Amino acid sequence: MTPANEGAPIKHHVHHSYIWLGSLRAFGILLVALVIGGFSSLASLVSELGAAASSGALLSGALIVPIAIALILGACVLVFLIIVGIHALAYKYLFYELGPEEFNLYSGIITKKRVHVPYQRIQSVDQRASLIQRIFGVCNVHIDTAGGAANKAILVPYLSKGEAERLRVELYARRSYAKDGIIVPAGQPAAPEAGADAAAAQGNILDMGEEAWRQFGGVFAGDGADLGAVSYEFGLTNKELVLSGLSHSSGVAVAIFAVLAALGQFASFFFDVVPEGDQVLTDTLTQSAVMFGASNVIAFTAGAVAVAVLVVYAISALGSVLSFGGFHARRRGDRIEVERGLLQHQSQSVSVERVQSVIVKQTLIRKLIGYAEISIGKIETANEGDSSTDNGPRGFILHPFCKLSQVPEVVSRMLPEYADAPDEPVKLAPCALRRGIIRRCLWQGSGFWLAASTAIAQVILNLVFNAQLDALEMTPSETEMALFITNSVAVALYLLAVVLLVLDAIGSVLWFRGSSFGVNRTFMQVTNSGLSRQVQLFPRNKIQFGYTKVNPLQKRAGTATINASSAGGAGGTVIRLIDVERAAADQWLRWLEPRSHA
Amino acid sequence: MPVREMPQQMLDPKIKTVWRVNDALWIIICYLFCSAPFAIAGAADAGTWTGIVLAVETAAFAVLLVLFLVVLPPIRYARWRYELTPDYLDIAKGIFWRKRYIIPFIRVQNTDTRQGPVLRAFKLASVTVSTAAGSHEIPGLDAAEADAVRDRAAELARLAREDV
Repeated sequence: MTPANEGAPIKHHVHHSYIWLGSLRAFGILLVALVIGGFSSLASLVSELGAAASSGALLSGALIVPIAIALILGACVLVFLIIVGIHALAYKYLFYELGPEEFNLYSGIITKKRVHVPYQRIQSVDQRASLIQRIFGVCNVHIDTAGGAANKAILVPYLSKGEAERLRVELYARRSYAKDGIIVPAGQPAAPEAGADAAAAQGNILDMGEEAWRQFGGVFAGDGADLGAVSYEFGLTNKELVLSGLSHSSGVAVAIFAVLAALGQFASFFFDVVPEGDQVLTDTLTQSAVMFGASNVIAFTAGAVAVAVLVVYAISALGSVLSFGGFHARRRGDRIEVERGLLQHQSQSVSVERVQSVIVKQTLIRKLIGYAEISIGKIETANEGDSSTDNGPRGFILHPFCKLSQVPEVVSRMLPEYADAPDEPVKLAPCALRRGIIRRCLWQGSGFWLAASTAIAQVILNLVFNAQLDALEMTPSETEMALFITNSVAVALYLLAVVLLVLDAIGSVLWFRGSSFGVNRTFMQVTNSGLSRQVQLFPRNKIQFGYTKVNPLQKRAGTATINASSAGGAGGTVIRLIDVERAAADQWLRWLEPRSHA
Repeated sequence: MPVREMPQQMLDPKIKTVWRVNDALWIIICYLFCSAPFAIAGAADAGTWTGIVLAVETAAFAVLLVLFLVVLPPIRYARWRYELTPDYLDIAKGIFWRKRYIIPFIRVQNTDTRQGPVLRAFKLASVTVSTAAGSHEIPGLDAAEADAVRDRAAELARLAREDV
């Protein structure tokens, strides 16, 4: 470095795989779009060629095909070269600098763009890598800032893994220095020396795969950076990993649909085999044979659907297992890092002071087996640029599948700052049970509305079929069959509605029994129970504002809904608890007032 | 336990007129958009059904107009209270859904005053207080008072050292 340059920020370019890997990816996307978009014209071209070939002009046809293929290939190569050229140019103008007080990202060939991020405004730094990127040891770095719904994450694409780690460490180090008012000159590393790591935690089968990845590293991974001391770390055991995949909510939803489909199959079979007596008498033999055949087709279709759905469930569970493969969560200094994904890898990190809330979530299945998912609420940003590298669900999952009894331990070791949870929960008002049942079973009740809409549809269809309209052009027996099908479907839907209604009722009783909120000097905790359960713990100083809401019925019942609004999520989250006693709600408002708690 | 008492300050009474003007404008625009197709259809061929639809629509909008111009503004005005304490902004509003907001000034990111054409005609302004999770508007204040409220809120918010 020459003396003239000293102190000036160093221009860091991204990895050169940005040019060729990025262009390959862009080319692939373009090709897929072209093939899908131009499929019909391609097909017509081929058929024309075929026609030309068969109509005697064999010689020219034989010539045209290779020429066309050569032309297409040539065009492809040309397009690819253009893309590579654009990427090479973009690469030249894409670099970042670690300035004394802010991070700068420069980009743009014609329109120059420069993004500044003061170190103190950095919320979190994530690394994400697709499978191909992983093989070559590069990843995309996302830098999140707090800016509400409209702001976007800053994407530094295609950094080698080692450089990404170094960038992350630098950013966090400079951030903590900036907080203390120390400015590290540009071009000088700010990261402290590393300490000894804590012993690794329990593992699972997929850790072997993860270990293999680590040893292989990736073609251009480069040397890793020293990251600082780890004070607590855990992975997932085999059981946790597999069960988390099996009980993953999207997978379970699919499985429930499979069960419903199977039930539907059973029901249709049942109704078809035991028709009403007079129906059997009036129906001719042929017709019942047709009906039986139809019922077989229905049963077969339903069975096939059920099998397909089960396969989809298995794939979804496997996908979830793979996405949590190599899961490791660790506390390093004042930040939390979570790494996961066997094929597509992502490594998220957030500093503790940016954590908005700790959320313990239990779906019905997990509630039954006594496990929960722990996640962290942080300010989310929209992703800039390619969204396809954004793999996995949004949010920051601290532990996908934790035994409920171990949740306090995990939270207190991972986030000692959040160990002081309020321990005197305030229950709901007594009349909340009645109000909850009415609300959840009637106004918001899926079963009630399903029954109501089924009844309306059934009445209308019955009227239409009974009117013997000429426009329908149906014979009386056909009408009868249509009526029979309509009414048996309606009965099945009514049964489903009853099941849903019972579930709603159970849910509202559980909601009443389990829901509460609690506050202490520094924290507020809200539990919303029901068939699934969610506990949110958040510090008082992360509540942006709070409000109570009273509707006329609540006013008469002497209850209120409390709403705490935090900046977590994209554009803020409202944490809500319905039907708290009015006095408790007023006390909570007083607790919200700054400097009012003694 | 007694219910928390209401905040002290009220909006400028002129805000009722502002609400009336605003709502009347919107209702008339909606009415024109809704009735224009039927009026044209009725003019094209003199069927009776367009006339009936128009009459029903006019009646509905007349009811709306009475509701928004006569009934609601005084109630809305009476229900709208706010108070600036040294530490927080306290807002109570809502006719059916009664809401009570506590917005600590240490969470306020920025404050600004806004003045639309209608508000300006009545020499009023609105103050908006924004937090990281959403913003709140105090709609009808005397322009000078709005500036004072804004400055006060900004000053109180400046004392904040905490970050999101």
